[in-house]
Amino acid sequence: MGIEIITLLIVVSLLALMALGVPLGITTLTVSLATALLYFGERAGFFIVAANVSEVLHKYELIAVPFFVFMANVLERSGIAHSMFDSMAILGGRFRGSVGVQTTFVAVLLAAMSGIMGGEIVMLGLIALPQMLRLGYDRKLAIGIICAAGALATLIPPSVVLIVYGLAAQVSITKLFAASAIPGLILALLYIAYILVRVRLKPEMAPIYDIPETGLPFFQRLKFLKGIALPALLIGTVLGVIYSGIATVTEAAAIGAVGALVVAAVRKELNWGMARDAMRQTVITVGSIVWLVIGAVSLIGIYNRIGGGEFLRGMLTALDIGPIWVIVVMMLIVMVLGTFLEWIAIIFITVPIFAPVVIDLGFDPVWFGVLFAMNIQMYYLSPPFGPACFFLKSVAPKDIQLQEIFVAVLPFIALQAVGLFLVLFNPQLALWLPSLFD
Amino acid sequence: MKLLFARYADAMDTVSVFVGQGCSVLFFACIAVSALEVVLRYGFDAPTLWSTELVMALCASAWVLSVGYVTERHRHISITMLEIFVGERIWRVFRLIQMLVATGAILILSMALYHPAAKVLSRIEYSGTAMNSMQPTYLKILLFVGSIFYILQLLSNVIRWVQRTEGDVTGGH
Repeated sequence: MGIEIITLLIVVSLLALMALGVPLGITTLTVSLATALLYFGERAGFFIVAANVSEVLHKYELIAVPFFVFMANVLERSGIAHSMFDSMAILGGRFRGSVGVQTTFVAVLLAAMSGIMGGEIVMLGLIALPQMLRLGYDRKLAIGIICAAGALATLIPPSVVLIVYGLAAQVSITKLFAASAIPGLILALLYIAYILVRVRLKPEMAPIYDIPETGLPFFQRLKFLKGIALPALLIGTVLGVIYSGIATVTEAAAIGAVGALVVAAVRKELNWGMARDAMRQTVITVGSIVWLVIGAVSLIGIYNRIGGGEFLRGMLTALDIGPIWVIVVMMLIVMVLGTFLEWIAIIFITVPIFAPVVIDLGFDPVWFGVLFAMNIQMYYLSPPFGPACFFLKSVAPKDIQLQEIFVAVLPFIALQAVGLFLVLFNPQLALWLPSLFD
Repeated sequence: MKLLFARYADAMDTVSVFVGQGCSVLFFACIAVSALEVVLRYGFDAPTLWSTELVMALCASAWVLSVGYVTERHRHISITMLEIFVGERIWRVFRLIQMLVATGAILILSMALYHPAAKVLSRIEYSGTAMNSMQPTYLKILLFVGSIFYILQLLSNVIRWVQRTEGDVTGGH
């Protein structure tokens, strides 16, 4: 049987099992086991599968994931987002659309603190969304801001998506973090510009926010900086220990987790119940993720061994289009996969195939990693499975329907596409900052 | 017989929850050891030989052994969109299929992992680092044990499905 037919059978089997609701990790594992047994027989097949699966537990960098998840869980329970939001509201002053803009700023800070998307959207959904709705903000604008700004955590360092990409593509995670900072800020600025333009054209979309402190002169408002001082210190510590060379990404994540506990303690919100809940939630989140990784690593290991990787790489390089358009094709494949696969599985399945092609075409895999994370960010928002929309739905007022959320995020998906194309055709936007560390 | 199965499911669920919650402490230990290593290295110029391997072993234990807890809570990541289209009764049948597929897959995985685990038991493998710990041996056995644990919890979930005593099943199998 040719590799084309096997590839087709693998895809059909994956889709069928996923449609039945079989967990994604088990889906990929089942298909990899079947492929291994049918292709290599019991003895060799078992050997290859065992070797591939065991490899997962030897990935030291992957340990950063539970640390960042724990950090996000602690921060989520510490009420720090609430203080940041209050401080930003006063510091930002009084102008039309101010709450939307401040929400985006808070989202950037939250993203830089934890790198986990779900918790951030939940935090913003609980704090900023009710505020904007109460002030009479246009519902779709408010919903779109929360989902899009909340999803920035996939891109702004220390993004867990970039850690996993770095592992799969075997590129420096430190460089990936540096490369994603400017594209992340560009996206945030695009969102802010969009908010300001929309409310300028249609003032009723965002009534002016009026609290007495916003009328104070700017230097008097500076005392409200204390609400963002601790988060800024935490961000500075995590990124500082990475870029000063003091700690590896995994150790920096551990320091961040300890820092999150210190922040909670300083705010007098640390207690046994809170720490226990954060730890248990971390176990649930990470325990489900690891089987996704095991399944994906097993599948791609077998697929590469039967010549699938070479087949797909050959197909991509044989395309009669310019190298940059090959990258666009890869991005489209990731987008399509994003409609039914979890991001971590997408990375472990596609990156080992794509990364060598990217290098062969003369591109930098660090730049491709940033594009990849931007693409994953679009998938986070895109119907029908956009996880960001589901996270927001879980905490939004009951009258906000999922359909309304999906419609609300559409302009922001378009902005993400603009950002993606900016970085696609201007690689220096991503590569300039890491070049400073060489 | 029905009572025996119910007791098995109760006992298995209790064990899974206990081990899962214990795993959360392992993650915490990993965090503490990693942070301590940075302090020892840069604060006291006394890097350890053991921290990386210890953290990897602890973290791997938490990853693998939390599977019972995650399965008991039905928190594996899966696509459940079809539930809307097929209705509750058919989806219930789908859930049984999900559990049986998972049991079959993990059973085959356990068979694949058995040989390497048995081999390292008869001939211990060492990491070959400065510490030269038994980490490779431990991880191979751990994966096999984790797979068996997963199957045992899946069986408990199947029993609960048959006896209609499941809790919240909004997540994966």
